[in-house]
Amino acid sequence: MSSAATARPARPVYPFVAIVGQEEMRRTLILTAIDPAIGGVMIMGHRGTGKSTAVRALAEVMPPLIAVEGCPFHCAPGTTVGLCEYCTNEGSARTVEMQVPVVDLPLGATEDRVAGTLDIEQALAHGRRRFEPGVLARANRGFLYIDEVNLLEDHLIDLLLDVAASGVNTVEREGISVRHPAHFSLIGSGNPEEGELRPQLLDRFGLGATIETEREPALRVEIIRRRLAFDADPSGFVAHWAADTATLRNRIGAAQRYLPEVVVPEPALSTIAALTSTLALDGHRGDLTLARAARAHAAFEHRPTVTIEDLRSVAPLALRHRLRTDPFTLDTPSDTVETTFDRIVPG
Amino acid sequence: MIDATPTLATPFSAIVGFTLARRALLCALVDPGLGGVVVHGASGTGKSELLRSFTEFVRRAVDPLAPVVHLPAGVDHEALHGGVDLARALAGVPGARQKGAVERARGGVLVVGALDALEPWGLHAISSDTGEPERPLLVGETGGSGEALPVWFIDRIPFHPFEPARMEDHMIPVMLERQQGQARTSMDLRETFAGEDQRAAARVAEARAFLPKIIVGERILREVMERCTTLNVEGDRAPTFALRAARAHAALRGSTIIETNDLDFAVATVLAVRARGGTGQPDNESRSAPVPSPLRTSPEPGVVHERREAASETGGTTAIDTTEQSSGGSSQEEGAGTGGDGGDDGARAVIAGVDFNATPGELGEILARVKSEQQAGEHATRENWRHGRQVRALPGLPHGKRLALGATLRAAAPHQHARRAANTPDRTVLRRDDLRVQRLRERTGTLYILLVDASGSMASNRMREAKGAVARLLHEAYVDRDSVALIAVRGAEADLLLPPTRSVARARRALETLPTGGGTPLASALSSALHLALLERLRAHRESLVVLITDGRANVPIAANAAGMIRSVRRRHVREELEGIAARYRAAHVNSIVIDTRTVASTASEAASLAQMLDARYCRLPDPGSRSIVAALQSN
Repeated sequence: MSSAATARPARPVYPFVAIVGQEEMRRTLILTAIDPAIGGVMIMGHRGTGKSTAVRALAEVMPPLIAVEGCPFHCAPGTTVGLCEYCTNEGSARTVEMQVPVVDLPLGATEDRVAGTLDIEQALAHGRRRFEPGVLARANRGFLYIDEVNLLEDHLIDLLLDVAASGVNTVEREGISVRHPAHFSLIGSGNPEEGELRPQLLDRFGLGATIETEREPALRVEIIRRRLAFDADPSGFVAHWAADTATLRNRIGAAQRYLPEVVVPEPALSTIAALTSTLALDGHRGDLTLARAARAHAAFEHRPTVTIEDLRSVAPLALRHRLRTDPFTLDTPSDTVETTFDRIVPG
Repeated sequence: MIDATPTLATPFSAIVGFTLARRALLCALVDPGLGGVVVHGASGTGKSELLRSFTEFVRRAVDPLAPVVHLPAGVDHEALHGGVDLARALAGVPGARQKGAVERARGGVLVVGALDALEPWGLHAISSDTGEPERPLLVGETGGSGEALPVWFIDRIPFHPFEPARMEDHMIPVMLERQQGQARTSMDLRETFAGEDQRAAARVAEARAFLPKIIVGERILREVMERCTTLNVEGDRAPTFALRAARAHAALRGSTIIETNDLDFAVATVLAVRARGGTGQPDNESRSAPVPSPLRTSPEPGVVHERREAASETGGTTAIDTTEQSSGGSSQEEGAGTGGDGGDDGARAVIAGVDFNATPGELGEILARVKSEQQAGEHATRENWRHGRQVRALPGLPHGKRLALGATLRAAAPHQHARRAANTPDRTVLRRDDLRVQRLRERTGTLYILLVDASGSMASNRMREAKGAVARLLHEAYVDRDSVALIAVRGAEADLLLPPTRSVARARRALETLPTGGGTPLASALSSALHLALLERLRAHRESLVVLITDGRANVPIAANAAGMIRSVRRRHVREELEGIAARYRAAHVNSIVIDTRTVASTASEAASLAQMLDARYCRLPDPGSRSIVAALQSN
C-alpha cells in the first residue's frame, strides 16, 4: 500500500558527518542510535536549522540490519517467534541485509494508518480479514520521525509513546486482532513558538536537544556553502564525505557491540541519584535514561566503565526537559542541570 | 456572452502590478530547487488571477505537459496522500489506488488558492521537501500580511512576495485599460501578449541553462549572511533560499554575476517575511509589517513603546527575565509585592516592561470564570463527520465523510452467501445500504481573541492588568488546548499582534512590545477579530470568544477619508460602522464579552451600549485603586 508515511526517496541524502555545528543534536542522535532503550529524542529549536536533515541522515551512519526475508516487520532472525506471525508461521530461513529504516510520520495520519488496519482489498476481493501493516511496522528496528511534533494530535502521540515503550503494537479494530513487534526510537522535532508539548509527553522522550541558529558568522557561511555544494551535486558531495560516513558508521557499530560490557560503577550511580534528587525530579525515568545515555556515551568512547565525564556530557541532555520550569522564564534549564552537577561533583 | 473566452486567464505578461510576485514565480521556474511561492496581499488585489495566469503561462509557454493540480480548501488525507480507490476496489480491480494531489502534481504546479483555510497537517504535507526533485512547484496565496500562516510553513517556502493593497497611482489607468480590453475580448489581449509570454518563457529556458555557470562567490555569501544577521533571520534555510533566489534572478537578467539588485530582490521576497527585527535579540515578529522594505525595524514615530523604558540598553530584556524569575515563579503572586519591595532600578524595569508576576486582578478573575463556563459548555468536545476519533458507525454514504470499513463489511457479511450465488462467487458484494460512515468526536478548545484597547484613553494600569490577564489565560490555555490571539486597538487601525497561538514564548514577545497611545479604532479591531473567528471556525473547526477590553470610546472609523471629516460626521461614521459590525457578529453567532475598564461608574457607558449591540456579556472592571503598582511608580 502506498502508505501514509512518505516513502524514502532513492536520491542522495545530505551526509550526517557534513552537518556543521549543532553538536548537541548530533550527540543525542548518536547516543540513541547506539542504545535505542534510551527512549527517543526530542529536538526543540529554531526552524530551518537542519533538524530533519540530521534525522534523515541517520540511516547512512547506522550499521545495516540483518532481517528475515519477506517479513513485513523485518524481524531479526530467530528473535520474534511467537510475536511476529510471519516469523512464527512462514518464517523463511533466508535473511536479507537492509538499511535501518527512518520513517516519517505525516501530521495528518490517522490512527489506522499509523497502527495498521484491515487490508481493505483483501477484505473486498476475497472476504479475508488480513492485517495491513502501518507506519509502526515499517519503523520496527529503526527510527520514527515526527516533524513539528507539537502539532500532532495528542491521542496519536500517546499511542506512539506507548508502543515505543513496550516495543509491541497491538491492533484491535475492524474485526482484526494483531500484535507485532514495533521497536523504534521516536524522534520528535518542533519549535516551541508553535505551542509547547504537554509536560507529561516531554518527560517520555529519553533525551532532549535544543538547537539554535548558529551565531558564528564563519560557521553560518560554511553551512550555506556546504548546502549549496550538496544541492549542486548531491552524489559528488556524498562521495566526498563517504570515508567519514563509513568511519562514523563503524564507530557506532563498535559501540553497539561494546555496550553490554560497559558498567556503571557505584560512584556514578550515586552521582546520578544525587543529581536527580537535588533537581527534585519526579519518578525514575530521568535516572534510568541518564544511566543509559552515559553508558552509550562511554561505549562510543570505547571506555569499559562510565566516568564522571560521561555523566557530565549527557546529564543536560537526559534531564533538562524534565525539569519543572515556569514556561514564562526564558532561562534555559540546561544551566540548572550543569550548575547542579558542578555543585555535586566539584571540578 | 456565449463565448467561453471570459473564463480564460489574463496572459502572464499582461498582469499589472505584482512586480515582485511575477519575478519570484519566474525565478521558481528557473531554479526548481526553489520550490514554492506564496503571494501575500489584501483581498481584491488579484492574487487568484495572478496564479491562474501563471499556471496557464506554464502550460502554454513553458511545458505543455506539466500537470497543474488545484488543491481545494477542504482536502482530506486521502486526497493529499493518496490511498485506496474505493470505487475501483469495490468493482474488484486489484491494487486500485488513487494518487494524492502532491504526487499528481509532480513535475508541474500545485496550486493552493486557500492556504489560510488549510489545516496544519495539510500545510505540513504540501510544504515538506519543497524544491526536491519529486515535489511539484507550490504556488499559493494568502490574505492580509500572512499572519494566518504558521511560521514553520512560511519558513519552508522560499518566496513570499507582498503585494501592496493599492498599486502605484500611475499604474491604475494601465490596469483599467487592460481590464476593459479584456472584457471586450480576451482574445485580442491574448494575441497582443502571446509574443511577450513566449519571450518570457524563452528567457526562463535560457536562464535555466545558464544557472550552473553562476558562481556564488565568497563576497555574496558573506553579504547574504550579513543581511540575515541585520534582519535577525532565524535558521539556515533562509540564507540558502536567498542565495538561490539572487542567483536565479541574476540568471533571468542574463548576468553571470550576482549584483546588488539581485540581492535586493532576494531580501524583499525571501528574507523580509522572516525578519524578526532588531539585532540578535528575540523581538517582535516584524513580519506582520506588509512592506517589502524590511529594513524598517524601528517603531513608528509617535508610538510609545512600553518596552523602551525597559530595554533602553542592549541586554535589557535578559536582565529583566532574571529579575522576574528570582522574584518567584507564581503568576498568581500579588503584583504589589513584587513592585513594593524591589526599590532598585532592576525591579522597576520589570514593572515598566511586561510584568507577568503582576496580579491579573479582577480581569483575570473574569476571564477565568468565562473560561471555565466555556469549557463546561458544549465546546469542549464536538461530534462531527470529519475530525477526531470515531464514536460510532452510522448507515450512510461516504460523501465528505469517512467510511467505517469494518462496520460496512460486517453489515454486508451475513448476506454474502445469497448475493454471491447471484453474482461472481469469489467476491464480497457490497450494496449501497451496507455502507457505514464514521461519526467522530474531537476535542476542540476555544480560541480567545483578546482585543486590548491600548489607545491613549486607556489608563496605563489597565494595560498592565490586561497583560497580566492575558498571561494567565495563556498559562491555562497551554494545558487545555485553547489558543489565544491578541489584537491591539490603537492608532489608525487595529493591529494583529499575536496570531492564534498556544505558544507562551510568542505571546510573551507580543505582549512585551505592545505599543500604546493614539486613537481607538474599535470597528477595525472588531472586524479583524470577526475575520479571525470565522477563519478559525473554517480551519480548526473551533469556536472563538472575542474578549474586548476597553473603555468604549471608539473614535477612529475604518473609512479611509476619516482624517478630513468634521467631528460630528466622524462620530456618526464610527457609530454606524460599529452597528454594522455588531450585526455581523450577531448573524455569525460569534460570542463576545465586553469588559469595561472605566473607573467611574456611568449610566451612559459606551462600552455597555456596545455590548448590547454585540449581544455580548458585559462586565465592569472595578477600580483597582491604589494597589496598582504603576500608579505608585508614576507618583514617584
